[in-house]
Amino acid sequence: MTTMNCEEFVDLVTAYLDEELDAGTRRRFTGHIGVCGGCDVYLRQIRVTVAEVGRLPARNLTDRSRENLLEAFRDWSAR
Amino acid sequence: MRSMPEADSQSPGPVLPADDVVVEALRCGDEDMFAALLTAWSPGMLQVARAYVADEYAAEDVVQDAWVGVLRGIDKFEARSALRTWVYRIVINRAKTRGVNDARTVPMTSLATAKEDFDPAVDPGGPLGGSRGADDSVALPQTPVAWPSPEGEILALEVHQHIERALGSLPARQRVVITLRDMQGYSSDEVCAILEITAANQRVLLHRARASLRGTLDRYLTAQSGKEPTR
Repeated sequence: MTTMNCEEFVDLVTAYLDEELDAGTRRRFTGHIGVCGGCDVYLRQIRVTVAEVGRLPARNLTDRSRENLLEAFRDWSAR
Repeated sequence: MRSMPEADSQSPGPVLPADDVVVEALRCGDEDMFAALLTAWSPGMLQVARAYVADEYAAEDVVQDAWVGVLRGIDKFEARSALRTWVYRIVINRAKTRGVNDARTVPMTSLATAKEDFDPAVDPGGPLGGSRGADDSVALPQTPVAWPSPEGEILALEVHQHIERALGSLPARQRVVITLRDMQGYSSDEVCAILEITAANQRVLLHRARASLRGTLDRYLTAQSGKEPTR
């Protein structure tokens, strides 16, 4: 089994997280984590980043826009 | 009436009935159903629109306009894609048009071009990656140093502000992909369908966007730790 270097590891992080690596590449990927502290940290940081992006507050339409659209819906359905 | 609404198993969010039920309800003038769709999908639509237009107000306009477009088109909707995918395509089309028109009228505003998607991904602190320019690679960071705060504690408003700002500097296509994947939690399949791009392209865009935001957080959090020497 060939070893994986850090460049290849970084390139494959997203595919790894999407579970799109084939079994062999996945083994090399996880094997690299065991021997490279930096890439272990990198992977954790990517996970934290993804989680933090997911926690950004989302807003919805303003009440006014919503009212406008509901009114547009009533007009449209009365067509 | 159908008995039980089918859960949308594709991704998180409020449970809506299956597409055929929703479409039929809209065609029959079911205002509650329309209201439920507005509640469920508008936040994601606003975030997506924001990738193409200058500010929140423009995004709000675009989303309103898109919903009117949905009503105009729903009678002809043929379910060749998921309803949500079709709705997102409408909002993205309108947002792109609005973004281009706004850029034309505002001097000094540069148009986002596809070229930006292929600039080397920014992962600051990565001189090791300097020699690499391949389209599908992200600059290798310097040996990453663990962030000072445990994962659960970096919820500070400041972190959110840094992320928001970093999102604002991403090329539109990267921003749309990370918005749909990581903010809205949609599957890669759905994102590919919405944007009509390949899985490989979707992954490159997501990869670059995440690497860029990680770089932003790294700069911020590493600077924070620099203020308080740990040893």
